[in-house]
Amino acid sequence: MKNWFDLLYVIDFISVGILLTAVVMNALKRLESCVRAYIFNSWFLSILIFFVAVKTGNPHLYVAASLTLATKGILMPIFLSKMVRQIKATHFVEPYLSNSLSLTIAGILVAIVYTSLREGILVTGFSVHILKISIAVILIGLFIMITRRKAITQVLGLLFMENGLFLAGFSLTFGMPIIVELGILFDMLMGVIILGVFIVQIRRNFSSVDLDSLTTLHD
Amino acid sequence: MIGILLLIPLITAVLCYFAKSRKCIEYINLVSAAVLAIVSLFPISTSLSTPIFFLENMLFMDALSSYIMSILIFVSFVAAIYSVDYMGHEFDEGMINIKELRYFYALLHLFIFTMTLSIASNNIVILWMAIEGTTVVSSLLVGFYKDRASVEAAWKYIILCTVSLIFGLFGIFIVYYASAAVSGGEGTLNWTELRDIAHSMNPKTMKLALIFILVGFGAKAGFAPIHNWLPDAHSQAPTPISALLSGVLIKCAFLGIIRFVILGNESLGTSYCGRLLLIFGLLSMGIATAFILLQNNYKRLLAYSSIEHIGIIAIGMGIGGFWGIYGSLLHMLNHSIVKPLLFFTTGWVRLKYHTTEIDKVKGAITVLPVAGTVMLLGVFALAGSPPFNIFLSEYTILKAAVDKGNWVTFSLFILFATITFGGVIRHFGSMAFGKPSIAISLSACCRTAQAGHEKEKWGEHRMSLIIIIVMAVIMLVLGLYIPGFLNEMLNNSVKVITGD
Repeated sequence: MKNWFDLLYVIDFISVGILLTAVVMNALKRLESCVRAYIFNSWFLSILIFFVAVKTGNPHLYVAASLTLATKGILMPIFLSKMVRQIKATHFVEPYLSNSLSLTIAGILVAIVYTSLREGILVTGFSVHILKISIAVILIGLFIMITRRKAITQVLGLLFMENGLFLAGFSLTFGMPIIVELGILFDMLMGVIILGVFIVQIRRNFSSVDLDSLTTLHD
Repeated sequence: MIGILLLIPLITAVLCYFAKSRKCIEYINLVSAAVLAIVSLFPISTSLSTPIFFLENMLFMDALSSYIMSILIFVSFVAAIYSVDYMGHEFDEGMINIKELRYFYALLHLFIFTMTLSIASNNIVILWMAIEGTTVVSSLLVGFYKDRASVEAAWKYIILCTVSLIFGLFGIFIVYYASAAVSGGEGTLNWTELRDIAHSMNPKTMKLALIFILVGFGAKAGFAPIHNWLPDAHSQAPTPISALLSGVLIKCAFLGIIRFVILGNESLGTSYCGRLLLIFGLLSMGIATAFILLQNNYKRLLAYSSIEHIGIIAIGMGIGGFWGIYGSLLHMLNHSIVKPLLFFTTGWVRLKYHTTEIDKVKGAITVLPVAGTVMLLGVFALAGSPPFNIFLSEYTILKAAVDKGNWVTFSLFILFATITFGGVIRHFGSMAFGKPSIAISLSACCRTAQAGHEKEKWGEHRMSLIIIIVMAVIMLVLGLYIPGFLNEMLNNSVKVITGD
């Protein structure tokens, strides 16, 4: 079984899948498609952790994989879809940059990460690419947060950053004590729920979820 | 002992959420604040000499964390007492209902719990989780009034701090990786063990980790240029929460920075972190000074002043040496006394005048004799004039700068502090003196005309006026004399930071 993994570079394929779902977020016009891209990203992440668990035989990685799947793959998408339905958003993401330009910039970000991490921290372990992919996903998440106008897409960018961070932590540390992963997941879950609460408040107060209307406070 | 300290605010939060009447909630709040203050004396006094551990080394307290814990306990004690009067007044005027009151007190104690956890944690990831927890809980408190400005402030706060903390966690992962590289196998997440192996961690890795951590935790502490959430959040929150945010939370985030700077100093020598802290500190002071001059909202002015003072604390830590670190730690305490005092007094101003604009407030000393006078004294203290406590700690930091020959820091510090002195005193002076507007003096007149109403008002809000006076007295005493136990706490904390 372990030889089969190494032969087919399964783990590398899945990690590239994580990167591609993040990049493709830039090209999507509809809010539901963006949520779907996030679902694919989280499922790929959980499957990756599961395969590493099978390969190294570490029992608590199985627990980590199932926890990740439960929170990011199932609970979070349910919450996101409920929120999209509740705020009755118009279905189109309104970006500041056109889709082709943001795709290009996302590609350039990936290229920058790959070239600047050639030396420096090399991960001992199953793949040298995963750290680069995780940093690229973090940067793409940040880019999505900056260039989108709706509050919900900012939350999605934050969730992508969190996925990238989780992958980075996983690749740097091979699974930390389970309580730590549990705590991080719980914290981010709480954070996103509170963000959802505030999106409803924004809609109620400003009658739109366009973040450009949040200009009351300034100097 | 640490366990009980953590359980008390947690249990209070649950009790406050399910309590029925307003009197019940307020009694639970006051009793819990008093119990927390008394119970905390034991771990604080024992951990001054030797560290105490709990829960398989995941939580611990040493001299440094007991010092910051005592700051937290003091400010949460006075904030709990003050919120009884303040939120009670808002409840009486009908601005909030009983459900929101319950919600406020539950969140207040949950907030105190998360801050206590962040101070008492040994495991660096639990430290991160506690600070992210404070972000999540306090954003609910910042957006408490649910109007346009509060919701915008809360959104900005939670997004900016969560994004920065994600970078901070990435830095923590790199530190763990560096520790794993030292032992060739399992790394460690406990700060005490990390400090023992810090001198053999790879310097380049630590440099990278420190940049992420300084930016990540620095955003939470209020360093410029990532300070943008601070004026909005601290000005839109209810007054007791603003006091807690400015008085304790930014110090807790700075404690996180200190912990990692200690690790960095072992591995890289003190100049790298020192230079970074100096840059952030001077930038914060400069930007805060500029914005203080053009303010028209007194709560935002106090928030920018918090940015300036966290810059001063960073400068003190960046200068290093015994006196720099001593001055920086003393400044944490002094600022945590003066800033909540100012928030409390301006809270009364806001309740009386129903506005937060400096232009519209005049004659605070005549309308609110006790609170107005203490506000004016507090403003002189905040601006750094003797004989108050902030002057003493700023002087210590400046002396350390001169000893080390840091003339650029010295001159920039004095420039910014002087400009801020003028700006702050001008704005608050225009609020304190002058004739109050016709509407306010009419309403004060009418109150005295109704028999006995004036005395009744003094009796109602007696508790908060007493603590305002007590805090003002402490502010004056600490400016003239540092008591023995405080000096010992500070000496032990400096020893922890510079390494025995």
